[in-house]
Amino acid sequence: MKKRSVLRSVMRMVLLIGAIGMLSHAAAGSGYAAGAKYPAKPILFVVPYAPGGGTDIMVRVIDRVGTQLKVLPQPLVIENKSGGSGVVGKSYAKTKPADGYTVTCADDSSTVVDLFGNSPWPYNDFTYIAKLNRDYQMIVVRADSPYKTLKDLVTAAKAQPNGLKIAGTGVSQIDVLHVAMFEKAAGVKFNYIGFDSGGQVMTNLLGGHVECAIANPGEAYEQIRAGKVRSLGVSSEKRLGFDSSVFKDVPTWKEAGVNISLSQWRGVAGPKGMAKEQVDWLINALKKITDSKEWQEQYLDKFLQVGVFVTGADMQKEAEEEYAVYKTIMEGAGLLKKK
Amino acid sequence: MTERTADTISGLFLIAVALVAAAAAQFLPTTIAKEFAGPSFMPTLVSMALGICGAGIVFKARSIPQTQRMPGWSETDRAGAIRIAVVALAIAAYNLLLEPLGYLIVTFAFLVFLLWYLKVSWFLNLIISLIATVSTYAMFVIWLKVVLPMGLLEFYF
Amino acid sequence: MEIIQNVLLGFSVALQPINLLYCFIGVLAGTLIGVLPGIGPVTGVAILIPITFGMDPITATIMLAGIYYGAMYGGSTTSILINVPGESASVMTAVDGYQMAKQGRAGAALGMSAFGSFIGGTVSVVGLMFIAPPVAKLALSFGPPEYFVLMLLGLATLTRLAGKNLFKGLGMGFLGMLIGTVGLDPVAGVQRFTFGRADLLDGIGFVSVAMGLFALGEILINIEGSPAERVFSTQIGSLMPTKSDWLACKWTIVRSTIIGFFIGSLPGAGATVSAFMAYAAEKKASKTPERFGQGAIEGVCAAETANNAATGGALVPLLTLGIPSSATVAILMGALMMYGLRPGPLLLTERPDFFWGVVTSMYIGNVMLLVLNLPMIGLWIKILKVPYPVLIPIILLFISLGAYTVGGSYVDLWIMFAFGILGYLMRKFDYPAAPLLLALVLGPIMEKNLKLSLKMSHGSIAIFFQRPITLILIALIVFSLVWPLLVSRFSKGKQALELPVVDE
Repeated sequence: MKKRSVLRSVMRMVLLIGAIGMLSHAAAGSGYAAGAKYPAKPILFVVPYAPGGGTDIMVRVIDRVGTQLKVLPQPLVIENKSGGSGVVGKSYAKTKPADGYTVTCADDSSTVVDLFGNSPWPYNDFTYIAKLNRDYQMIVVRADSPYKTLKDLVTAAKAQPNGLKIAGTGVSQIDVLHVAMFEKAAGVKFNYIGFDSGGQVMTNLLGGHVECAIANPGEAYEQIRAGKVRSLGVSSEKRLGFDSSVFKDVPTWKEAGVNISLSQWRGVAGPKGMAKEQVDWLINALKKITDSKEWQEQYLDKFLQVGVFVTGADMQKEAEEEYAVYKTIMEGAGLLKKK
Repeated sequence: MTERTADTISGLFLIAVALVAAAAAQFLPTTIAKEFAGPSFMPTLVSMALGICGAGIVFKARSIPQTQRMPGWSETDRAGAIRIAVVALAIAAYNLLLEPLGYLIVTFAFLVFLLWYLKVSWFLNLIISLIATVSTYAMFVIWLKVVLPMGLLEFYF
Repeated sequence: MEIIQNVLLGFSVALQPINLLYCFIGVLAGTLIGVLPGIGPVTGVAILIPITFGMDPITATIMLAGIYYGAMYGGSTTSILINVPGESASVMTAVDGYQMAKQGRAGAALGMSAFGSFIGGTVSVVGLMFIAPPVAKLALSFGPPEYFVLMLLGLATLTRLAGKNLFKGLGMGFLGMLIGTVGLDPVAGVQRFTFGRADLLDGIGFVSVAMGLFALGEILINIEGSPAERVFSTQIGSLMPTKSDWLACKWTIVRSTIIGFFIGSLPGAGATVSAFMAYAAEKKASKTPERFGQGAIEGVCAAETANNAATGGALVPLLTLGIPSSATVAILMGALMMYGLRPGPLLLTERPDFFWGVVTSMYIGNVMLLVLNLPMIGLWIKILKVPYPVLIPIILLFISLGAYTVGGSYVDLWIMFAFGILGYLMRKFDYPAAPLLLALVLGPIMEKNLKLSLKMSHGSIAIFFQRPITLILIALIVFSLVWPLLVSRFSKGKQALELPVVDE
């Protein structure tokens, strides 16, 4: 008897949990099945990097602002699938149907990984939706470094090819290419030391294990503000407009005599072959989100990013141009793999 | 099995692994850029060390008395081997079917099968399988927002 | 005294009811997350970040920090009871903890890990308060050459983890290092042994390997005998460590706290490495090293004390320099930035209420964890009374779910499967698992830093002999290798560890 009553209460509990689950999902599912207008169910955003990173934060702010402004009818489902410099997560997103309910991050990492021979698919095998922001690079040194200007550093580097160590993030990643582009423009050769994370780059710079480092403004900002690190120049076309006490006096590379500008970017893409109306809906939604004051405050200003908005075919064209530039650089620097 | 035979077999196995790894390391690609310790440096070094250890084990085995038996090998129990094979196959089937059929179906079937195989009563079997499947789903998917494969049921979720 | 003022300021923040409440929620969630396989502190913090939006940044950080160190407490539970390391830092806890559980001493093991965690955690908070700036300075002086030699020192302890047959122990170590080379080469960036699979680019997942070797291997061994047989002694014994346990662990706690705190403060080393190092140091210090791996309470105590002490250490570079020292701390930093705080060298002076509030809350959180965990021991131990045939399928589900969640990929399921079979064979052929795991963790860090050092010096190994810290560490390595030789030569006792004596 006792056994039976236990069984009954257990069954009741299970049925209850099951029923709640089914009902909550059925609500979303039924509308979708009836062919209601897009988006009839939550959109899955595959973040191909670990939680807490730059891309993850961007997607979470999109989700938050989009929900606040009621641009997104339902919150995004955010799934982090990190590994292989983003390849794992993007591959996973590409296996999903191109029905508008799965999107992922588009960035220059796809290009770089493809060039380094670590990508199972071509870099542009996506439906490009929108490019949302740019991030620049700075050459930084320790505050007590003898190199006061970019010119000092370039002169010293010219005097001893391969002699100055520059720290950057990653080995088959964008920092390698950006250092190579800087080297080519300045006519110098550094000894590139690739660490696992921006944090390690800063530790090794502060610890004096390397002479200089390549870092994003957001990575170096606090150290500059505290007077531990000095920025010798930034890779943008114009000086950066963030905290003027820090960035007003940082010259661009071009001003400092190295005639090149470069940047990283992030955006949104989906599996190849998405329908135009869904792409347009997403572009429109992202436009509303990125035009908002909340986006400016919660993402761009806080993480020192520069907002841009390039969509669809234009975005693809930019990516393809960038690929060509990077490929030339890699050939020149001897970075292409030989089998 | 005697300890001497066991150590000789496992030592030879390590030597074989070391040889395969060392050979495979020689075919690793490399870059044009100058390197001081290339991609094959570490695998080659470590497989050589592994090979030496394997040889050491084989060599040392010769000094083990012939009569010394390996603990845990005493019974030549066929039933035990079958049990291991069944459990291992169940796990392999779980891994293979997880994506096409989905978490809920495969997990439930996996638990029911194993509990049945381990002779747990049907009453307990079904209760445990149901509760474990639903509660892990509730905890991981609903609360922790882990995305598990839904397979056949994907349409409903 | 300025420091007393600061501590008072901290407590005035941390003791506010709302902060106490969220501290409690944080440590409770952390404990749970630590128990769940595959969900480590990184995922745990990531899941709860959205809840914290709109909260006061101090309150939010107190909660997230609670999850972080709470997870370290929780991780030991499944390691001890069912040989499933909940996250990578508690792998070493499983080695002796599970043996203790088999001998009916699960209560003592759980109790000792709770107390060890408490002491390690609390003392590291004191360290964070008083010596954070000098420790941060020390952490900065660790460049690639220092890391390389430090990892070499860790690997030199392999000889200590080896067990009866040195060749077997070392062989497993080298096998672990070989497995550690799978993935992208750390400097050249080319793929090694990945078979073109993207999900192997970052190497073979440590947690899946550990769960396979430990949990699955153990199940296969047990199932070979009669599954209905009880594997655990029916006597569960005392729920608390005994007086002799405390005496045995007295110095262990002191040493492991120091090791945990310092190694935890080094960016790129972290809680897992510190638990390994503390365990190896304890085995070295012990008069009866052969007990390690057979259920030595010092082993459990060392690993748990060190991984909790490492959480305090890991916050040193974050709070003083604004540099994250591990993946978990990196996501904590991401959260801080979302709240509008900028962790950096100026944080301490610009937001003393934040710094001291969070740090003192960690005191309170550690007390809460102790109070929370001790009564739970009685509850947890009931798991051991579940008949084994019922437990087996549930453990199998648990580890499969864990392996899938940690990497989010089917490859991890197969890795766990393969290492489960390897673990079974290793038990059958009498090979130790700990050296393999140690080498799998340390090997890749060592290789990367060796290559970076050589790149820095243009190929000259002189770089390892020109820096004060590397020289000290090299001296330690030589000492740790030569000392046992001297001991065995001069002591008549035969219980000194067995060395590869060729003329045996």
